Amino acid sequence: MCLLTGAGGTLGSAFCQAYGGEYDIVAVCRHRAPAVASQYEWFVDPLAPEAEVPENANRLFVVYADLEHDGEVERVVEIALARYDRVDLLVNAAGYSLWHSQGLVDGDVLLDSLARHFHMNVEVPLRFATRLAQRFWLHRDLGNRAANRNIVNVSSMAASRVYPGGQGAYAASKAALNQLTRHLAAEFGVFGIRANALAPNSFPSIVSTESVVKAIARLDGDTVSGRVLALDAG
Amino acid sequence: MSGIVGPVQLDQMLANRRWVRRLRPFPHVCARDVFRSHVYRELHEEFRRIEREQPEVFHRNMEGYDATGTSISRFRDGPLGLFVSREWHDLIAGVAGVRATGDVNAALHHHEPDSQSGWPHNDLNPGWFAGSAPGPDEIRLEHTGGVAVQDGAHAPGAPARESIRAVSLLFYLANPDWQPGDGGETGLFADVATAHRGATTAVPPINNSLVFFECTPRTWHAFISNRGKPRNSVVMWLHRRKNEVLERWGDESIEYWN
Repeated sequence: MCLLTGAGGTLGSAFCQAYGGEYDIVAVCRHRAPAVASQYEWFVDPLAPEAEVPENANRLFVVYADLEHDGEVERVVEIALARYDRVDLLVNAAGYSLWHSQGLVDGDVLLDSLARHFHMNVEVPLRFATRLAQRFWLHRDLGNRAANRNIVNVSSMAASRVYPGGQGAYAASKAALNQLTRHLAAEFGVFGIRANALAPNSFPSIVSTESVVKAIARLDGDTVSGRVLALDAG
Repeated sequence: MSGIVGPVQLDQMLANRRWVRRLRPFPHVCARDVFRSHVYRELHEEFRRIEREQPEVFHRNMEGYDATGTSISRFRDGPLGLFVSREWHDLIAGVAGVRATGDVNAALHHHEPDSQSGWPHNDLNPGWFAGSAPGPDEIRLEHTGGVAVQDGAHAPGAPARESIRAVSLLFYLANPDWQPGDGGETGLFADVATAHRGATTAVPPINNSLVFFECTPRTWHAFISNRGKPRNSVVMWLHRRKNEVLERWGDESIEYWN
């Protein structure tokens, strides 16, 4: 069972399409849901509207939430646990990015965006991990290890490189997410939860979205913890 | 140009057998790439031909709706006749889960660039048709038999029958390539109270795509202003017996024409 944030985005939507048959997915969306069958929408054959359609076999469970609002993370966690009685994989794919090509000192654009970057890219992933630990994982170390439960935080190559284009605030928040991931791995390992971050270059322009999606699944099936896995072209 | 000269073979015409049924903000169905490319091309070219050769048939007579329109009934012998075939009627009614009467009101609509947004309405309106209810293989079109579709005005002795709109459908065609920000979508609204904040869902007017829904007292929808590009569509309604509406939602739910 996978709790996926940012499910309506490019990456989240691709993950749902690729792995909807392998995971029970709670897909957390702000406005747009992935183009995959869910409790809110599904496929129908116009020539046989009552017939079963194979694409409907693995429906997502979509939860609409604005994660910038207080209490929304907690609400989503409660819903996910109520729906599936467990969370095996947390994928923090929701994020915020504002690039300002004129850079950090051009007015207050990036300065004003800093809190939002850190809220969405650091606090929200931490809040999900913490609430899941407090409400489900903390006293289940044996079950967590047996199910290979883990967290994948979607970071960015920008966390460790300096790119042009005014990415300073965004990059700093992703660097913080990387370091937070290492701490999560150190603390959550005691009760059997692994934590890793995936740091791809821009997708789909430089690396394919499919490769990022596969890397998430690979981390889920692996045994590593505390890693920041870079994903670049070639 | 091919017309509708025999049974419509929809299984040969449809390109997409995976339409999407959505529950939010109210139940509706969307589909892209509806028809095979050669079928769509004929529809597209027929719309263009009418625009080019018979612009006078488009009239601006829809109150509060910033568009011109013309009935499809006069073009039913051409490619557009597909939309007023019994086969299409039954397919749409079947997907919508509606027991429809065979009464069809179908038109081509054209919005000039920068047309004004419409107001949210539910389409639960009456439609008057001539004669007794159509048989299982028949279609009865609006304005036939001397019956006015909105108010049922008719010549003495000409029987007129009141139905209520059961399904609203828009099929987008002959439009420039649509990009986010162009507007011209069909807005679907969860409620009227918050409609001023914008549509809950906006269905873009992408060529060869459609949206339709069963008309109920809460199927609020409206045209969203188009910036810089025209919007063209087929707009059609299937109908149901009035008694059904009275039993489900009561007479006060029916939006009678003024």
